Amino acid sequence: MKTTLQHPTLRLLAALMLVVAWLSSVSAHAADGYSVGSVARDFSLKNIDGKTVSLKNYTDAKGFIVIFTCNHCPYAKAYEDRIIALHKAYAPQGYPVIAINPNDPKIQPQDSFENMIQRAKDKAFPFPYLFDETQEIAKTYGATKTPHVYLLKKNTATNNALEVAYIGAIDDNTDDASAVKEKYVELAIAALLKGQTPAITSTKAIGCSIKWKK
Amino acid sequence: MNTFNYRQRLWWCFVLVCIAHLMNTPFACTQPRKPATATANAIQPTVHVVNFEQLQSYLQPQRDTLNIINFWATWCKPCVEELPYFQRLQREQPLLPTVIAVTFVSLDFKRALERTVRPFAAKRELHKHGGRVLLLDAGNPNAWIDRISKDWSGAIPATLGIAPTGKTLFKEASFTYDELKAFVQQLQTP
Repeated sequence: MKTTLQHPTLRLLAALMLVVAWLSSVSAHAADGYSVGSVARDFSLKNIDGKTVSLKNYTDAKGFIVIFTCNHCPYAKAYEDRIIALHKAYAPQGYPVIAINPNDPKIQPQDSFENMIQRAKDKAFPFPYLFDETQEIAKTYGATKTPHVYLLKKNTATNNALEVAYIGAIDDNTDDASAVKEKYVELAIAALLKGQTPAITSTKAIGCSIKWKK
Repeated sequence: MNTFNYRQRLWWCFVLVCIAHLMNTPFACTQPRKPATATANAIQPTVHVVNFEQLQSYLQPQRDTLNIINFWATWCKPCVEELPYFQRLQREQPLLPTVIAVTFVSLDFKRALERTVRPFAAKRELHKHGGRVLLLDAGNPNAWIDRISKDWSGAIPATLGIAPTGKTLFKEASFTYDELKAFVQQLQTP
């Protein structure tokens, strides 16, 4: 090893390999997205009304129920009414829903911005329904599917940093809202409102894979 | 050749087609072609509804068999697009003498079984070449997703491979045919 690395070209090659290894480890880490306790970034995304929405504009909010969702996915559709109910129940308590569609409409035409406007109108969404056109937010958060929830809590002790308090499913039964036993998001918010840490901070559910740009 | 007019050519085509058919079947060429699924063992396109415990019997390592478990749904575009690759894999059997057995696990809602999943499985001939089709009705996914793979976020399509040695491989994404072949080869490698 010692003798071979003495050749300047090989040494350069070794150095290059180290750089490549470092770079790939950095990008792999970024692709993992947030875990519970991470500080979430804010964003400026286009809403269905044409205006831009940023979390920093919600000065009264205590946190946010950020939900990656879309028009086409039957799992996402199954939750629409429950997402509306979540917003109606928790926006007045400081936790509004922010819905984000991360799908590339070139791959899934039903998830176009025009169809988002239509869907929001049909269902009378009371919350913003944003289009993550560059998919940067979904990637940074680490969302993989729809629906995929990130419950954020403003930490007043750290200059209102948005801490991820819960990641995962809305509840434990996609198919049948009347058969739900555990309402994960509601339980987590209830804990946060009491100043406690949620008992369950991450769950998994089946969802439609995010349609990434090719 | 010029004496061969259009009608004559059409007639010869008809005769040739008839001969071709007669070589395959003992009947006349008016006999309708039987669907491929009805040949030999008369495989019926069944879709079994299973709970997680029942699914687990399909996840055991099997001697001389490489089990491929594909999680999909009828409305999932990337899932549907890759289904033919799994069928092709089963038809071509690139790892013989190790047999590749594919199990298609539908994550459609149970109420869609008769209306959507069964007709889809029949139309796409998912049972051809020995494919098994299940519909998983396993309750809270949070209780079983990790038991398939810790690497599974819950997005579909997703595929689990189980080698005779017990080695497993998991992928949460769709495959091209070449990627799928590489996947089974990697699984086969001790």
